[in-house]
Amino acid sequence: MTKASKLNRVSPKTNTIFSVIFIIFALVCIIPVVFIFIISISSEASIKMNGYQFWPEDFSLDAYRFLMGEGKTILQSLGITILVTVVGTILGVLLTSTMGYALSRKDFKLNGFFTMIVFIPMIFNGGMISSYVVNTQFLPLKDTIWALILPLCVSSFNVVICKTFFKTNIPDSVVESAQIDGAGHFTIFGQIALPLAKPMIATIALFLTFGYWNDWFQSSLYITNTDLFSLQALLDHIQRNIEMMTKNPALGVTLQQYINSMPKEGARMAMAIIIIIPIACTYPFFQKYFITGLTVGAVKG
Amino acid sequence: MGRKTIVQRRKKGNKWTKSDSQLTILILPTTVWYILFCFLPMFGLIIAFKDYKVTGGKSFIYNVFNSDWIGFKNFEFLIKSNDLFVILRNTIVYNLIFIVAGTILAVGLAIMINLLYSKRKSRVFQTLMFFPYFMSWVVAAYFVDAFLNVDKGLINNILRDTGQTPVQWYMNVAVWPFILVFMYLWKSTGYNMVIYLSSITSIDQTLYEAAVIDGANKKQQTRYITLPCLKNVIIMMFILNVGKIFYSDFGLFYQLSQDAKGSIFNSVATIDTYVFNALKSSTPIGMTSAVTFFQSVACCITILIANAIVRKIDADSAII
Amino acid sequence: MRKKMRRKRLLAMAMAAALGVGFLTGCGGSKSETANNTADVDTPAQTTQSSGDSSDVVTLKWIQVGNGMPDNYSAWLEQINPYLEEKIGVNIEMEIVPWGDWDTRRSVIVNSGEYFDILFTNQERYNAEVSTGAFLDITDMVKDTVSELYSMIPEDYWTSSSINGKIYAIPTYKDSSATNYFVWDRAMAEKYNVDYENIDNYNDLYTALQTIKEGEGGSPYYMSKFGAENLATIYYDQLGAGLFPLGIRYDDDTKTVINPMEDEWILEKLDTIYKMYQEGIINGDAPQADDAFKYRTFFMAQGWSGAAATTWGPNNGIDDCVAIKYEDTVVSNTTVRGSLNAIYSGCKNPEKALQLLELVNTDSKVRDWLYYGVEGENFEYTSDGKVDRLNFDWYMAGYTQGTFFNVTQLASDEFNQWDEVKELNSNAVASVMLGFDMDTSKVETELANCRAVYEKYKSEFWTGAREPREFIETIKSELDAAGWETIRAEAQAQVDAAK
Repeated sequence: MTKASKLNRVSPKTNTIFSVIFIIFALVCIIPVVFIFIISISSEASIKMNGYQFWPEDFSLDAYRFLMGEGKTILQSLGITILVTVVGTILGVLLTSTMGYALSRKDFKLNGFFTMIVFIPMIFNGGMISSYVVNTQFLPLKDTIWALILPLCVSSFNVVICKTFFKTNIPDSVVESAQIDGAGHFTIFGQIALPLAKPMIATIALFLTFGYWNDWFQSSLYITNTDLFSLQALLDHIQRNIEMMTKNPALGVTLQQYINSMPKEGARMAMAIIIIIPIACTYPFFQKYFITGLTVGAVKG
Repeated sequence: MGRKTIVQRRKKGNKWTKSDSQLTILILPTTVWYILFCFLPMFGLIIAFKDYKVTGGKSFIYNVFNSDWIGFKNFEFLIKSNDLFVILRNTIVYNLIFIVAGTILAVGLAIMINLLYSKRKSRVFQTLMFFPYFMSWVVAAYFVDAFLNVDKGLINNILRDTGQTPVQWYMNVAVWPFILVFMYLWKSTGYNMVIYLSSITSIDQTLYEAAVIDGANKKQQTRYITLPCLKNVIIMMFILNVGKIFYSDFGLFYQLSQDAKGSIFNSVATIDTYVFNALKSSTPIGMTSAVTFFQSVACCITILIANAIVRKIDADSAII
Repeated sequence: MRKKMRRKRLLAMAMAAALGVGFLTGCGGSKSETANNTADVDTPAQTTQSSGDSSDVVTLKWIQVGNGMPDNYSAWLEQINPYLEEKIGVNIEMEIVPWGDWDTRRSVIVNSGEYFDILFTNQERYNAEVSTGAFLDITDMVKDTVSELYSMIPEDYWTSSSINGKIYAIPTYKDSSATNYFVWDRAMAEKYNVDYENIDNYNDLYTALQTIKEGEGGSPYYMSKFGAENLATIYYDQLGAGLFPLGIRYDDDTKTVINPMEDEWILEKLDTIYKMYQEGIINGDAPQADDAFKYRTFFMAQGWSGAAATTWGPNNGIDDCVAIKYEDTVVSNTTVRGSLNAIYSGCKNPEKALQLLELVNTDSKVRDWLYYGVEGENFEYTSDGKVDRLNFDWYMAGYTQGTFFNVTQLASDEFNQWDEVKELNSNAVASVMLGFDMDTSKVETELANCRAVYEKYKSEFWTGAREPREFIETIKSELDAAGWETIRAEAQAQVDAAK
């Protein structure tokens, strides 16, 4: 099924109104990002004198040059973040969708029990320290990449979304007819439910991807090995290190002058841009799953 | 055992079937995950009721179980706080506004964006509307400051140029509800739209075709097909969000308002910002744990109530 | 399709198996991390020195804050470990936690029972960490085992590092007293004939800044949201309670507990600050401004006058920066506890740990390694015994480790700023409450709520954004409602009992 036929569209006038509304929204969303970008290419001197401006007195690429200097570590942590995001997303989608599927089956005897298993952690949390203790003393996760992946791959929020989707879009009749044909749940899940749920999978994958991309807390809690820092964690460290060094009079003149030559404010914004751009560019990749037209009806036939 | 139909099999009562075993095995990995990462650490909840002390050389678990019980003492500071009413009110009311306004906006925009002629334009708009989600609140706060700064902000510059007196925006308690709601919507609409977008694309197209044949226009189609099909998802999101109603987005309330204090406290303080300011690193961990426990229990009650109400109206939409 | 499905099924099984295996291996008990890393650390350097067998060598784990683990960490260990082994039979293992992670990490370390030997701490948490039971009582051990270290640090500082008369950490002997400075852009001051060297009070300051503002416009006195808060934190002793509206004036022999914010000494200064804020001499966004690197003609800062050349000038865009001392230099528990190194209450080798700290504080070679990095890579000794820094890649933070006074001076430094620091220390006025810490266990509730009230109002109070004498009434009434009087009574009772 392709897009709706020309007969079933809104009027051109409505389309224009919608477009205008969206242009306004898009501008409101994008202007702050542009502002941050402009700061990142402002010269440090003009920031010091005039603060943040939409049109600074002087432009300079120093902030990016400075970050290029840290290029090797940034690339390393970018690699880590990408690896963690991809593995975590795939793992998360599998774990989440299986649970969501099972919970959507009303005739599953343990439905109530597993609903509780999913519901309770949504509300109650043992706290940072007990999680840390379990993950480092009970499970061998300290200073490993799995500490960045495993604790975040499932969220009850996502499981509930999955469950609702499957419940709404995979009617019992379809499942029953497949079972009559002799298919077990594994088959039904893999061959019927998942393909039909592409938009929902894309949604969960999107949430997981963004969750992993934005995470810095796991690194800060579990990682000492500098090779394993995620991108957010690394950039946060660079930022803080600059701040702390400048506050310390004991470091001596030459070190202070060195620090002073760093484009601190610009670098802070440049780092924000580095975080935003790659991940925003992956969104179109998910978008293609939000296309109209996959119908249950086709499977019915 | 001959080939029985599903209906007959089910009528046999609550017997464990092969189908059940299959489902159980299917979700075994996920269950293991829950046990390891959610249920094992849950013993930490009791720290809220303990006067936590460390004994040298002993493990955390030993320390937790060996510390004294002090009942509800860790909860006292929150209960006795003079600002309790303000922070509770702010947390709950803001969340309600966010839920209602956020849902209306996200659903509305999702429907609208799906109706645009040019799919390419709709993709571009969607992508652009996602950018705010990636800006941390710290960075967003710089942007807001560029507008609201009393000396150098854009708004005050305009006021000065037009001969009016500049306003101390960060000390003006009345404007902050609007600023906060606006900024919340700015940041999360793109993100919230995704769920509704994917739901809309899952709607059976044959329904629309049948409606067109019956002579329905777009508005009627939306009202009688799209919205009802979204009903489950909207209710699900509503219940899930109600389940977080005692929590607040710390970055939004704290960093955007430059530390949620002073003259704007009454508009901006929530449970989380209050606790952040009250409990310094020197406070016993039992007190932080107590606050989380309080929020958890409160949320548990609200989500169960919300779920029960929904169940009475439409049993299928309830999520528990 | 079938294959795909079977693959999915296998994948699910494999995952379950993997998680199960992980579960089982994790079950094998928690290994001590020192045991794990000893193998790595020990192997390279066991070459020539044969003092005792390797079973005598103890590996000590030291956790500090800094920029992160240095890139050349293993090379560094190869340099320092043989020396340590020869001297005291010790190998060292450092964990340098990045600044941004420090708060979370130290909370986890202290509370989770994770093993360490030495931990850097400071006055923010020292009291709480001791009462949680995380640190070892080293009062006797320090006098017996490391008498050289004990005599090197002034008696006052040992008093400051004790809680209830017991010592739990080694203080870092550096700028252990606090001095406030009026910091000027000298060129600007001279342009307007401001006699900055003799301005030592807020009224004269006001007149001078007024002149500058009339000439230059803008706001010459740049305040961040902390405002003039360190008027309360330096000149009033908080008794270890961590609540700034509660304290005893450093020179008050009657030892009366008051609220510094309503003390006349403070209010009269705030009157002037309020005037300055009204007139725009102080930047209008002061209650929200952070301490970022902006140009400022005048500001107040804590440190020593040498810092004007080394830090304050460069950071704040001032080419010619001068700092004039304001009021007394004060030494109190807070100032001494800026940097402490404590020993875990479950430490297996406390004497060795103390010996290591003594070596760090007395032996320049060890100190330089910790402070500057790897010799030959990060720094080099010059012919006249000074140090040349080769690069800026060393990530450990010098002030967390030990005293500054045995760090070899940089060849590029024109003057030895530590001389001034020593002088300030020796001329410091000791707070009357030196060595006293309040036991806050009975008033934690009130403390939490009073802190919340203070945090609510502090920025607008200390930056003069609101009229102070009216404002303090509002603040006081809310503090009273939060239980301030209870805390005061408890504090006074404890203070009186300790007299």
